[in-house]
Amino acid sequence: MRSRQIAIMWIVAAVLFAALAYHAHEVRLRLGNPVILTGYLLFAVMVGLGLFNLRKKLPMLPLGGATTWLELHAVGGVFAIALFWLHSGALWPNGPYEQLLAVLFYLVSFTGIAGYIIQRSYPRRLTQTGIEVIYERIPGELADLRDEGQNIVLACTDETGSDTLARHYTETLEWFFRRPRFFLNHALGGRGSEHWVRRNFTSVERLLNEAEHRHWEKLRALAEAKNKIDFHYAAQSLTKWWPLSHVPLAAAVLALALWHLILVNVYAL
Amino acid sequence: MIDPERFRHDRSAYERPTFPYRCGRAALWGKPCARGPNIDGTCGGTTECAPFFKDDRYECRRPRTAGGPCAEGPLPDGTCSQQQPPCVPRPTLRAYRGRLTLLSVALTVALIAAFLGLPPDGAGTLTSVNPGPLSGAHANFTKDRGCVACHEAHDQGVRGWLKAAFSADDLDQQCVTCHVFGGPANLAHNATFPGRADLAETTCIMCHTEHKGEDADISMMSAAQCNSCHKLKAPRFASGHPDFGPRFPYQERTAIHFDHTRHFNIHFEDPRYVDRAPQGCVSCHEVETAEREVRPAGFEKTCAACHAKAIPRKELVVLNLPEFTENLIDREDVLEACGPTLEALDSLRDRIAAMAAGEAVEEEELEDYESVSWDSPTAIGAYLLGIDGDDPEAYQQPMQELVLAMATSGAGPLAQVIAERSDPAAPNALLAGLSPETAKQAACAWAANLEYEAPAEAEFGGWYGDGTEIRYRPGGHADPVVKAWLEFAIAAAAGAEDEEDRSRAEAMRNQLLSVSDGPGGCIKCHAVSAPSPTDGQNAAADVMLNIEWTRPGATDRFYTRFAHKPHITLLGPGAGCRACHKLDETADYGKSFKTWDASAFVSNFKAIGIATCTACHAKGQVREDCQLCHLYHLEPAFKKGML
Repeated sequence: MRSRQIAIMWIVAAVLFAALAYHAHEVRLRLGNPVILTGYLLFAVMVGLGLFNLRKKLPMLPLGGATTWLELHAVGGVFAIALFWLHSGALWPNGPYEQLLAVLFYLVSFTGIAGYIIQRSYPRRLTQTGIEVIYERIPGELADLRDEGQNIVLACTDETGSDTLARHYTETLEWFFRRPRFFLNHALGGRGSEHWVRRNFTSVERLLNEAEHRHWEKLRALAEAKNKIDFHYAAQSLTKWWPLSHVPLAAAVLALALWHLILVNVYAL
Repeated sequence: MIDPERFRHDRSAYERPTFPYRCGRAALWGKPCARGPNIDGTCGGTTECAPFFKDDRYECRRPRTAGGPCAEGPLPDGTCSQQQPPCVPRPTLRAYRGRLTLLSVALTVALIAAFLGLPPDGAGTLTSVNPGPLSGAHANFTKDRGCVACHEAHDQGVRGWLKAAFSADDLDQQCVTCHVFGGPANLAHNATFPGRADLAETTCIMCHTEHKGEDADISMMSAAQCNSCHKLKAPRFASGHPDFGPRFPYQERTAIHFDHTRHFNIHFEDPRYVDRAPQGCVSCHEVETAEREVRPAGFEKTCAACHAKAIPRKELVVLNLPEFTENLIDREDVLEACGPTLEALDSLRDRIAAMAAGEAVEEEELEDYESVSWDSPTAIGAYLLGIDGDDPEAYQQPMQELVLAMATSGAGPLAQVIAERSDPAAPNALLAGLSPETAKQAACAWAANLEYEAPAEAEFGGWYGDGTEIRYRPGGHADPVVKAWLEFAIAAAAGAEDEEDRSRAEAMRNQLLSVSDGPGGCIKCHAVSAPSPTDGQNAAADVMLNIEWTRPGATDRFYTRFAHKPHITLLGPGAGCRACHKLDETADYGKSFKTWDASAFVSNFKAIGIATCTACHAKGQVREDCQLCHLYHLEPAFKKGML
């Protein structure tokens, strides 16, 4: 989506909120009760944000691109936070139920903002790795690399009669190839995995003869490739895991908000 | 990986992340099988393909991505020859997300339901219908009845809730079960304002929002909210608030004519009185009970030391013996009513002695009548009898009839005359304490054309006869008889029947309300006011005047409040008063009391300007919000049942 369109969305949201805040202020000055309007609007916005999840389940319908929906979701989410403060009139409400609602709303907001940052920042870094990996195939890719690595080590032993590389693989590298490693380091953009590979391959390099060294180089190339897959795994995991908190919390907030709306209608309107 | 050819349809399996399960081998970082788990969560990869029966034989259908058809081919019974142990498929992220979502919604609903049924106390305070603690006062009175004290639908079950959800809730009805106002509760300021028919009805919850916490001030309003209705906008007290006016707060004349300037500058400096002079404002004004006003202590504490002795000196003359041109009273009647006088007894004794001595006794000659009094009737007497006091020919008959009646019956005939001009109960107050014997003896003397010689003067106050007058000496401050006569005179002038009657009533009223000669000297201090400022001294005589016996309260100032106490506490009771109340030594205070128009008032003190208040009540100093001085409601109170 073009940045100009995104900017327009944010501007429209900001203008809409400013108008709403002004209207609420005016209503309050006239001793009216703007929370009715802001409350219903907030609930409508939250339902609208929830439709994003529904939209993802209906990709066949011509309802606009996923990027547009994501941007709308982000703009709507920030709009909802501002509207929440406008509606409640405070950062922290009084009633225990409203406090629970606020806690969950803030958690949804936090996970949403964090998710948006993840969604906006990791794809760029994934592209920078120069490879493409489908998340669901990462286990298979890793298995392929592991098999290939074991074959290299076996070939090295057969060819050179030396078990130096084989023992190093068994004692050290096998741990690395067994499954994705350095998850947190990758997620935070660290280079711990590269250092680990460099250190553990360099440490054995001087013990290898020329024939073994050729296998060593192949194995190292595999390790560097796995590093990239590990990064993909970490990055893609985060992009897929954050909705595990965001969506259930959002559903809980919607349920609480719906009950809140019913109570307000029964008790106060 | 890097090679895009890897993703060709014949080299790359089609991933289905929306499926609820994923391969268990992949979950353990092994090579996932090509077939993947079944939809029910069982392993679908125990064989590498599902052979297809075609043309009487089974064909291997292993996908090309998994290596294509195997060399062994299907077994004769149609099963795949490439068997492998089953895995335990794991839910996909999508499945986990769905489960977590359902769980969170279920937990939420369970939580709401669990706390909904609990009583209001204890864990029940966590119930979803409690949007926060009530303010202190409301929390107390709702303790017993709970939510239903204000929210009728609370305990009415699902049907009641449904009804309440789709109908307007009128919380005001619950509010006014306890709160009452000086006007309709649903009107702005509980009143109707001329020319403001456009004002919409109000509700309590427009301003008072509950459930904001125990210490919440649920009546606080911002200046902007006040300004939204008021045409005159005052964003802050120090900027925008109109000035108090040139006479604030001394618009109305004081009830007591007390000239502060003359007392402070002349009387209290006089060596004769200096020892009795107050030491300051608080010597007379009671700061202990200060609220809106710092009321002066009573007469006894503040005035009596100098003025108490002057009151009895201003006596009331109710009735006198006026000058008559002829005696219309039969001597026999007087003799019958009063018995012989001392002079008559002496004369009789002399005649008997002369007769006993054999001397000739001549018939007693009647002397020419010469009235013992040269006075005119009192204004009270003239009014009561409806006589012209300047014409003896006209008044002597009714007056002498009254005298003879009093000589016969004491004070009764006088009371009867009063009752005829007022009401039957009036004599009780007007003649309270008048001894019938005093009236009779005085009347007897007058009937005999003699001056009455009282056995003693009314030294301690009360009724007594003196020569040709029946007088009343006030006993002291707030004498009820004098007070009754003053009010009788005012009522008489206001209720006069005709011009002559009005003239006589006015004469009586003016004499009794005289500042210099009025009985008790009451009017020297107590202001007399006409009911409206337009009714001045020259107003029609039938105006019902009001003697300001007591200092009027300040409750008639709607929507405003002022408390002296915190100011006195802060500024000090002495010189602190003068910080705001500054004497205006040039003001002609006394002039204000020469008229009955209370609004034509010049105070002893300079007007208090807004600058006096804003010296402290300004931003960053002391509170300056509207509600500090202004009340929204008109006469807010509680119903008796609440107290």
